This record gives sequence, structure tokens and C-alpha cells, in this order.
Amino acid sequence: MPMLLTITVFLPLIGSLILFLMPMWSYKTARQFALATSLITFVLSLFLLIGFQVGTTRPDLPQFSTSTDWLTVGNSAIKFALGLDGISLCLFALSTLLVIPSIFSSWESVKERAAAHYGLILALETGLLGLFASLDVVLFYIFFEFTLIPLFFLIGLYGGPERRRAAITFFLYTLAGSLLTLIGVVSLVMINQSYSADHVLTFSIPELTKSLPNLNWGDWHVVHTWGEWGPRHLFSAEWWDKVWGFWLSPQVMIFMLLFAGFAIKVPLFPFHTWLPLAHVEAPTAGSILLAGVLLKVGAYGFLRFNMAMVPLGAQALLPFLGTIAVLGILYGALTALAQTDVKRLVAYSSVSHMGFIALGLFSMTKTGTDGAVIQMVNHGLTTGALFACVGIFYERYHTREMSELSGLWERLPILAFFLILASLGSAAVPGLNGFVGEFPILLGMFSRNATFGILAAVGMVIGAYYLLIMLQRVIFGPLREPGAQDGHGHGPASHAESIRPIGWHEIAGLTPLMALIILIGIYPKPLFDRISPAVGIIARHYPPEPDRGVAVKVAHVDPAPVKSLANLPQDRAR
Amino acid sequence: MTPPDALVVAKQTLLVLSPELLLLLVATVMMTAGAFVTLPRRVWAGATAGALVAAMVALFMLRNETTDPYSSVALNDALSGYARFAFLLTGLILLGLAHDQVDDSRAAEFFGAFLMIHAGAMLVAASNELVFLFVGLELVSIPTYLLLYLPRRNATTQEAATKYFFLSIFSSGLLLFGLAYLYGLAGVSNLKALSYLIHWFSNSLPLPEPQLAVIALVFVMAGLGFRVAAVPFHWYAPDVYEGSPTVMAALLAWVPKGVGFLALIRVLSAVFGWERGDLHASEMSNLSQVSDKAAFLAGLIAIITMTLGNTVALRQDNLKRLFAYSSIAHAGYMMVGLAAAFRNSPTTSGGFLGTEGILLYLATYALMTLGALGVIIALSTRDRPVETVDDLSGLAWTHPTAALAMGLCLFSLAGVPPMAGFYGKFWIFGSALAVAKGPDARGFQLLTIIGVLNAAIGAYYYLRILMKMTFSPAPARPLMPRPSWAAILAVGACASLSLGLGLITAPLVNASHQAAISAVATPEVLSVAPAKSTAIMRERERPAAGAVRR
Repeated sequence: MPMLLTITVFLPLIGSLILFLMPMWSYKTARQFALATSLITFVLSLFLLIGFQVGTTRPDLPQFSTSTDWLTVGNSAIKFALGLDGISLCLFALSTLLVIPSIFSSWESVKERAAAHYGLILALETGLLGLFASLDVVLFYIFFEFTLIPLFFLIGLYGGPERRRAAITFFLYTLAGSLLTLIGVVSLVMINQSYSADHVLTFSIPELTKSLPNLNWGDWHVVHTWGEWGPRHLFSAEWWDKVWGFWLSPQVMIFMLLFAGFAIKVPLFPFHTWLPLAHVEAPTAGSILLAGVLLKVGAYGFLRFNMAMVPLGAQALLPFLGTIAVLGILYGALTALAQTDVKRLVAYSSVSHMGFIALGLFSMTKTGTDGAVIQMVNHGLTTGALFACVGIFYERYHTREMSELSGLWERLPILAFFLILASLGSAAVPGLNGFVGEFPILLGMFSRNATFGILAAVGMVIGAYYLLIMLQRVIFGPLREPGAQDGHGHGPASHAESIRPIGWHEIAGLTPLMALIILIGIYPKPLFDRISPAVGIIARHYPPEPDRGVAVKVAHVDPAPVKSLANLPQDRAR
Repeated sequence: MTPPDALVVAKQTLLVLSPELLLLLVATVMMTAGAFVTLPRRVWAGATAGALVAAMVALFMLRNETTDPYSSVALNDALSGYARFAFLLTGLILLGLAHDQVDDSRAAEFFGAFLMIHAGAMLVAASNELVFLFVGLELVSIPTYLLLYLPRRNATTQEAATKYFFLSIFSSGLLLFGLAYLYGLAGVSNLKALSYLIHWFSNSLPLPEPQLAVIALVFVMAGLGFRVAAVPFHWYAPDVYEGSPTVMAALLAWVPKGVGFLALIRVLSAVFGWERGDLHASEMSNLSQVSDKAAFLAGLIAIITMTLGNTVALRQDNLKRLFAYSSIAHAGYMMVGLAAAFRNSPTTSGGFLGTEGILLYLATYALMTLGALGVIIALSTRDRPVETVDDLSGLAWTHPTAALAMGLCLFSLAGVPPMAGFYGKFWIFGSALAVAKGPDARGFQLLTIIGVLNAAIGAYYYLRILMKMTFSPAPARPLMPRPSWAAILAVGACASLSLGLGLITAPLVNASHQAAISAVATPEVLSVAPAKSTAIMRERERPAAGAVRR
């Protein structure tokens, strides 16, 4: 069994190398080969999904794990260690699934340099799979950075007119953040060695997760400054000392270093500027994987590192983090409302939805975190499907402007069905998957901080609004197609023939996503069963959840230094 | 020491130095014979390759020989083996790039000087004595002047050669001044002995005058700062690289830098290294003061060098100038490692991560820089040289293999995993974080943060070349290179090692770990009066001072 995981991770890479060595293959051969590779990988990941034991007594132990020493550092070693727990299992399976529609979406549209295109997709898949399966921080980081290379070329070679700027912005932005994350990760390893009881140098993620939150963080000196603030403080040296003391205290500083890379990857509100550019310029396959899986990497990193290893920092920064997440939700939703380009709209909706996921994680409640992890899967499915749909009509009309398209229901009914279902799922209509994720997130945040919860709920309403407007303009109404009006001699009748109906590959790519959107909406229990125990391990170190139904006001957090987990806001609320 | 013992030591030293002697012998024969016989270039290049391979074999056969560390001028420890092997390997790579870049008429002088440079670099790697080290450094410099002046194609080349000559002489003077003060500290010129005295006797025999040590430190760092092209001694690099042939730029980008950092390790960090919590030297001792100042100086130089190199490189269009600034930036990263290496002490059991990081970085730096410049050399022809970034546009579609090799080297230079360049940066920055303890912890943390931000800035100009190669259309008149098989082999070796050592890094990590231990450790004195035994002192790592430290 351990070998199975390693094979699953590296199989796409082997496929990709073969594709790179075969540039002479026609696009037909290349796409068939790529499809075969991704299907085999998907089947292997299904075996993992089935073989994963639910309800074990030790959910902290990763399953299918394998480990060998790789690089020696002092008297310890960086290990090549792979394994899956409930959280990574879901994202792992999601990655293998989403590669299939991304290959199908390039089925007809990529004909030049097709072998390299599919090779890059498969290389990206290995990066993502390895990242979710890594049990060693250095290995995680290597896969994390490795994903940049294929995506850089995918955007830069196969993207839209601004692709070069998009590719380099994406690469540099992400690299700068993730290098800071690397410092944070290495600092965690060093601190664990310095302060843990047995002074062991370990790079293992499960061991660090177990050990770090329990450490006596030596000079842990957080002083909250949120409560008191005013212009007069700017001239008070004492106040500045407190501010510095707060930001330079170990957990806060490490939290912020880790935050730098993951926040850019998610992306949270002020760090999102690379995302619309990258999405709009990326080819459809790139967009599906970028939105579907790569953004989850940031959220996954938050959960694995920020929340699991420095919970005190997260707790101290809660007002800041909540504000950023809520701002992202509202900003993303309002900007999406103002878009006329459908792809741009979906891109901004991603900013909004990723804000929800971040909010769930930052709520520091088990409910909220459960919801966030499920929402990661949901968002991957719905946004992946939305981008695939956009790709389908862009391929036919070469425009994504809502003003130029209308009434596609008549021309492409199957596309209309897919688009409506994916939009409703994304808008969190009860009965579809989005609701299953966003409801626990809101529940968790309400119990921690009602203000953030209310503001996020407003974002949810706007979310439904812009998606429905998009549907109204593009799908319903009288049929209007861009080619029909250009007056170059072919009327609507001749145009209808030139528009290709939805092909089998497009249906095959989207159907599994649609099925899951409905299935998760109706019966999410299998997902919760796998995620919940793994989240429980991390949530052990969260402050206790306040009583449900009692909205607790934490607007003014205790100004006294937080010494331990026992001293919590919820005590004061009673 | 009695005369018979001295004879034993001399014999041992000559034995371990036989690879260098071999290279020098061949070089002398070539330069002398070159004046009398005319042979085609192939023959001279073949003789050079033969000499390098023979030296490699000799080095391998001598791997178990040792010399007495406290009286011999040369060591054959792990560091010496690691660095000498690296120089021989890169010598072969450079030879592959250089063999068709010279005229037949000057081939003998060229390859003779080439061999001497490598012999000098290997002497520095093995040296254990101040004067001997200086001789090694000069053996690198003087033939370099010759090589720079040999093409004498135009005024720019001559200006470059003259500039390098005067600055190099000046820096040698600075270095010599510093070395004199270093000798004045304890009255010994043997480096291991100096380190031993400073570390193990710092209670009973403290550094007599810390000011002396500080003067030595500043001047040695200044003198060697020129070799590694660190700010403020970097000014020559862009002009000289641009003015000289590309193969000389490749040589200058690697050999003096490697030599400079090895000398910095041997002379400074291994001698003045001090770790917090050291039992033999308290926080108030003279050693700690000197070491703190040294770490501060190295850190300061590192910050300025990295930032200047990376920001100025952003605006370069000429490839040679770009790689000159990139090599300055890389010197800055390695200076971060040097700052951390001043926290590696032989008297404590702590890891020698800083030293290890520099050594690891040097090896990867050599491969990726020589690879990238090698691609440029291989693509250039006499009538169509590759000078600017624009000359490379569309390379991925006209010459995919060359573009792949360049791409691997560029990603490695940018420090993106899974390339070898990532591990160099990881080790360097990791070592700086590992020593961030006590009062100067904030300084080391700041150094690391500035370092990684620099790495992100630096990625831009490498990516710019990469984007030019892949995303731009090919020019109407594509390059028509006719690279020799040797150049292809050399570039291929660099590119595949840049990737291969990233995927299988353990051998390199282990080798640099062993080398770092041998660089810092002061072997125990086993017997004071040696009789017949050749192994007068056994080299081993000293046991931990405190079994487990915090």
C-alpha cells in the first residue's frame, strides 16, 4: 500500500516526461496519452479513497505512509515521507479528478505544441499531489515551489494576449511570498529543536503538529493592542513598545511569515492582485487547475502550518485575520458584480469564496474548520466547472463579454444546464454542495465573532446576486451571438451551423463534477467522516468554542498578555 | 620539532600536493615548449585535459593520506578533497568551453596559464598556512592577468585587463597586510595551530590584543572581498566581464569566487568561529568580541552585496553584465553563510551549518553559472556573438536543447526547487536561522528575511531571459551555432548536474557536511613527541562540550 501512494504521485510526472520527449506527436496522440495517464492516476486515487480507513482510533497517524531518509542535517534527516490524512485525502482526490476536465477542456482548443501543453498539466498534477501527500516540511516546500514552474509555462505559452505579464507577475508574487513562508517553516523547526523536551531536530509535519502547540514558547510576550487606539498613541513611546512587542513576539512573527506565502496563494484581499490577471490570461486548463486546486494550497497551508502549529499567534491575530477575510469576501463579491467579462467575474468570485474558506479556518472552531475543508473541495468542483463552461463558449465565440452574448440556452442547452447547476452550487443554494460548506463556516464564525459572521453572510447574498445576473444575461433572454451581428454576410442560420454543439469530451469532463455537486449537497456525510477526525487533531489546540446560540462579543479582546490557552475570551463573556 | 620529524612532515606534504605539482609541471613544460614548437591547438587542449584527469586520479589515490595539521603547510582533509575535486571537475568543464576559443598561436600559453590557475585554486583549498595560502592566491591571480591580456583584441579588452590587474594587485596588498596582523596575534602562521590556540586556550591565553584581530579581520575580508566580488570591491566585475571573452567571464565568475570563499573559511571563520554557549570562551571573552564583529561585518557586506547585485542586474540587457551582477548577488548570499559560519566553533558540538552552506552553495553555483555562460559560449560564433538578452529570443523553438540546458541553469540560479540551486539557498538561510540566538538573534533574522526577498527579486532577471527564450518569437535569422562536442558535453554536464543534484542531493550534502567538519574542527594533539609513527596526530571531531545543548 505505501508504494501505491508514491506511484500515484509520480505517475503523472512520468507521463509528462514522455510527452516532453515526444514533441513530434500530433495533438491527437498527445491528448489521448495525457487522458490515459490522468485516468489511471484518478483510478489509483480512487483506490486510495476506498482503502482509507474511516473511524480509526488514531486519526493523527497518516495512512499509506512511507518514509525514507533523504538528506542528513546534523544528527537528523530531512525525510522523503508521504502519507495522507483525512484532509489531504480529499484534496488529493480532488486534484486527480480536476485534471480530467482540464485535459478535456483543451481537447479541441490546443493544437499547437500540444504535447508540451499536456506535459505541463501532468507535471503540475505531480506537484499538487506531492504537496498534499508530503509529511515533511522541506518536501512540502519543494513540491509547493515546483508547481510554479509548469503553471508559469502554461500561462506564458498558451495564455491570452497579456500572458507574459500574467506569467511573471504570478511567478514572482508567489515566489516572494513562499520564500518568506520558508523562513517561517525553518524557524518552526529550529524552535521545536530548541524548546522541545528531547531537543530533537525534526522536519516531520505530524511530529511538529504534535509538539509545537504544546511547547512552552519561551519568551512568548503578546500584548494586545486592538483595544486601545487613538491619535494620541502615535506619540507615546510606551504604546509603540507594546506594538513592537506584539508584532515581534515569536508566534505572531512566525504566523505572519507563514501567512505571507499562503495569503498570496489563497489569495486574501490585499494580496489578490495577481489572480484576476493570471486567470483571465491563463488557458482554460490552467484556470481550472489554478482555481480548482492551486488556490486550495494556500488554504491547506494555513490549516497545516498556521492553525496547527502556531495557534496562539492565530488567536492573537484573530481580529486582523477576520477583518482581512471579510474584506476579501465583500471586495471580491462587489468587484465581481461590476465585471462584464464572465471569466473575470468567476475569478473575482474566487477571491470572495476563498475569503469564506479563510474565514472558516480563522474562526478557530472545529465546525468552521470542517466547513472550510469541505468548502475547499466544493469550491474546486464548482469553480473548476464554471471555468470549464466559460472555456466552452469562449472557444466557440471568442468573446467572454456578457454584453455580446445572450440566450445561449437556445444554442447550447447542455452548456446552459452545466452553467446553471455550477452557479447555483457556487451560490450555496441549499441542496447543493456550496451550502454544505458555507453553512458550517458561518456557524463557526458566528459563535466566535458575530460581527464577522453577519458581514460574511452579506457577502453570500451578493454572491448569489452576481451569479444570477450572469446567468440571466448569458443563458436566458433572446439569443444573441457575436458573430451574427458583424454583418459579414452570414446570418443567424449560417452561424448556427458554424457553432459546434457540445462535444462528448466536454460532457465527459463536466458530468462527474455535476454529479458531485449534487451528491455532496445531498449526502456530505462520507466527506465529513474523513475530514472531521483529522480536523479534530488540529482543533484540540483551539480555544474552547463558546456556547452555540449565544452570540459572544469579542470586539474588545482582553488587553492583558495571553499567557496560556486557559485564559480565553469566552470566560469573560459569561 | 626534530629534523627527522620535519623530514617526515615535508614528505607527507609533498605527497598530498602531488596533484598540484603535476599540474604545475605540465603547465611549465607547455609554456616552455610553446616557445619552440608549433603544435595545433588540439594537442595542447588534449594535454591539459590529460593533466586534469591525471590530477583527479592522483587526488583519488591520495584520499587516505594525512599530514600533521599543526606543522604542515597543506592539509588533505575532507574540505581539501572536496574543493580540489570540485576545481578539477569545473576545470574540465571550463576546458570543454575554452578549448576552441583561442588561436593556435597562443594555445600553449593559454592552456599553461589555465592549468596554473587551477593548481593555485587547489593549493588554496589545501592550504593550512598563511604564506602558503597567499602563494596559492597569487598563483591564481598572475596567470589570470595573462589570460585576460592574451586576446588583446581591442581597447576594451585591454582596459578590462588593466583594471583587473591594478585592482587585483591592490587587493593582494590589503590581504597581505591583514595576514601579517594575523600572524602577529599568536606568532604562528599555521592556521590550525592558530585556531587551536585561540579556541582551546582562550581562558589561559586569551587573544592578546583583540584590536589586532579586528584589523586583521577587516583587511583580510577586504582583500578577499575583491576575489569574491563583494561590495564595495565589486566595481571591476561588470566591466571586466563585458570586456573580456565570454569564456574568461565564466572563469572569473567561478574560480576567484570559489578560491575567495575557501580562503575566507580557512583564514577567518575557522579561526575566529565562536558559538554562544561555548564553555571555553565566555560571552565576555576577546574571542566572542572579535567573532561578533566579524559576523556583523560579513552580514553587513552580505546585505549590501545582495541588494546591489540584484537590483542593478534587473536593468541589464547585456548578458555578460547581467551575469556579472548576478555573480555579485550570489557572493552576497554566500556572505550570509559566512556570517553564520562565524558561529561555528570547534569547541562545541553544534552543527557547522554555515560552513556547510557555503560549500554546498559554491558547488551548485559553479555548475549553474558555468552552465548558463557555457550555453552562451556554445551559441556564439565569431561573426554572430550572443551579447544581449534579445539575442536569445525564441531559442526554445530554434534550439530546444540549448534552451533546456539554459532553463535548468536559470531555474537553479533563481533557487527554485527541485534544482540544485535551491539547496544552496536553503542551507545558507537555514544556517543563519539556526544560529539566531541570544542578543544578535534579531540581526540574523533580519539578514535572512532580506536574503529571501533578494532571492525573489533575483528571480526576475533570470525569468526575463527565460521568457525571452520561450515566449518571444524566434528572430528572422536564427543563430547558427556550431558547438564542439566538448562544449556540448560541458554544458550538458552542468545542466544535468544542476537538476540531478537537486533530485539526488544526499551525496553533495554529505560531502559538504564532512568538509565543513574538517574545516572547523581542530584535531586533538595525541602525542607531543612523535617517534616513528607518521600519523603524529589523529584527526577526529572533538566530543561534545555539553552533551545536549539547548
